[in-house]
Amino acid sequence: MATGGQLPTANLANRGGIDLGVVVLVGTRKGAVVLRSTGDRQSWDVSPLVLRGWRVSAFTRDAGGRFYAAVNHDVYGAAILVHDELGAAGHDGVEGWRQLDNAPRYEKGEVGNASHLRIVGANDPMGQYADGGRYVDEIWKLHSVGDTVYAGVSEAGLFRSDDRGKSWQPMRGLNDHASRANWGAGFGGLCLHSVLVDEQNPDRIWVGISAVGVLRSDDGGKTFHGKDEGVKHTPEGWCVHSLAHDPNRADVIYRQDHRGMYRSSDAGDHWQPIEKGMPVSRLSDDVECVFGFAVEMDPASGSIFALPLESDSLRFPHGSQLCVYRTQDAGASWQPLSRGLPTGCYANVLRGAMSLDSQDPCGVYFGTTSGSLYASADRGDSWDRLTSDLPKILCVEAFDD
Amino acid sequence: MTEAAGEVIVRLPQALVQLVGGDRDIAVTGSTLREAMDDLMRRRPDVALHLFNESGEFRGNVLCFCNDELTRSREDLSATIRAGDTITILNSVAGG
Repeated sequence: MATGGQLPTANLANRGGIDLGVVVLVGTRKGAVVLRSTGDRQSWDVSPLVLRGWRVSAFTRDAGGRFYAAVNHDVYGAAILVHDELGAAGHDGVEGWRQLDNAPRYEKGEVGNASHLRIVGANDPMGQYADGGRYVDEIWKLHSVGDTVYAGVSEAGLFRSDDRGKSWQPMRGLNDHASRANWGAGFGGLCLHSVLVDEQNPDRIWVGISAVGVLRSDDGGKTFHGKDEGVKHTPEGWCVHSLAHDPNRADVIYRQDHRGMYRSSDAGDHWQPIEKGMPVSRLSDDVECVFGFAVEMDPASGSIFALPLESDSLRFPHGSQLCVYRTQDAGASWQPLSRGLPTGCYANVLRGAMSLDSQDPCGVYFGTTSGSLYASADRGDSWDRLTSDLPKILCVEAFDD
Repeated sequence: MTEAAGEVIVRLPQALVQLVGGDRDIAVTGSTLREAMDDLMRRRPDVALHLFNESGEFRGNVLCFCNDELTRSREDLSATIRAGDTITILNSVAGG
């Protein structure tokens, strides 16, 4: 792998003073793995499976250096674990996680969405959803801005904590949205899986909900409005799969949708397809577009990374060649990057399973549903497999400042 | 808490202890199952998060026994308990 640059030491004081190196957290169906490297990213320490028994669906880290892990269990439900010393001497993330007393939860009596209840009720032998209530059955996304942490959940909703996870407040402008009863669930249920915040104007927040679309707030979450003009919709609604932007130039947004890859240059008011050079899929309803889940942006270079899949029904790489696509001209053209990636691959890469570090050049990491983790230390030009045979990988997050 | 409140043991399933840590047996006080569960929630809110849903009812896959008697919902928790009783939490098991 190529040699990376030096750590951004100017930020260390803001993250608990820990010289982190590069840490990659990998959440799986049955636990998590911690990978650590120095800034050169030439060699990696790979932990044994930690948080064993938990389904680990999301990670983030706040300005004080606290790591958060969203976890879930089929019987015991969703929770949030934290680690305050991961990366410090003697703290490799194998031990030291503790559970917060609270997690995002709806209130008694809140009414569930009918389309979501149809999906979760189809696999509900104990009748947990029989009362038609609204429950947090998964935490799909954690996103930190300073010491504020946002949690996107299923059944779709947004919560925020301003006290490092001690308490979680529902963002009622979204959770009580007037259109909520008409929201249509995607294949995986009605889930809020994407959160973007304008770091120059934190009152401006975007969320992505399957299969509702992108909604934006300009008033700190008091109100949200749909932002899908120019995007083809599915019968259920606008099925956004993931979002990416530079949080300091926030209004330019990239969107991997069920119905293609899009870019907006006006904060989501309008979207244009950007698929030149990417493999197009013919979906099960004969629509032709780029299908995939993950999209990530490197703010330093402006590069965007995505991983298109063969179709909505197959969900594995085109021609079985695992391949990342990158654009360096804001979506005007895309180039395939497969040097070091395998052929004969029939795995999916889920929406949360790709992440970038902030080294120069940036590192790119992604995990597959068949349990392999791949990394590039040269902005995607070449790839190595860091580990394999893990449980199904649900999320990957890289941290290095 | 009423005058008759006494100490009872709440025994957690091993699968939950593996996830949250701590002791399998938790001493709580109460004169009814509800009081005992409320005390459990105060002592171990992290555990309570996993036993009860947003409506305050036991999650569907969680079973609660008072000694040998199954209680299917929190509405059943008005039953009187005595010092020395054991409240056993179980999770349903499925698979094959």
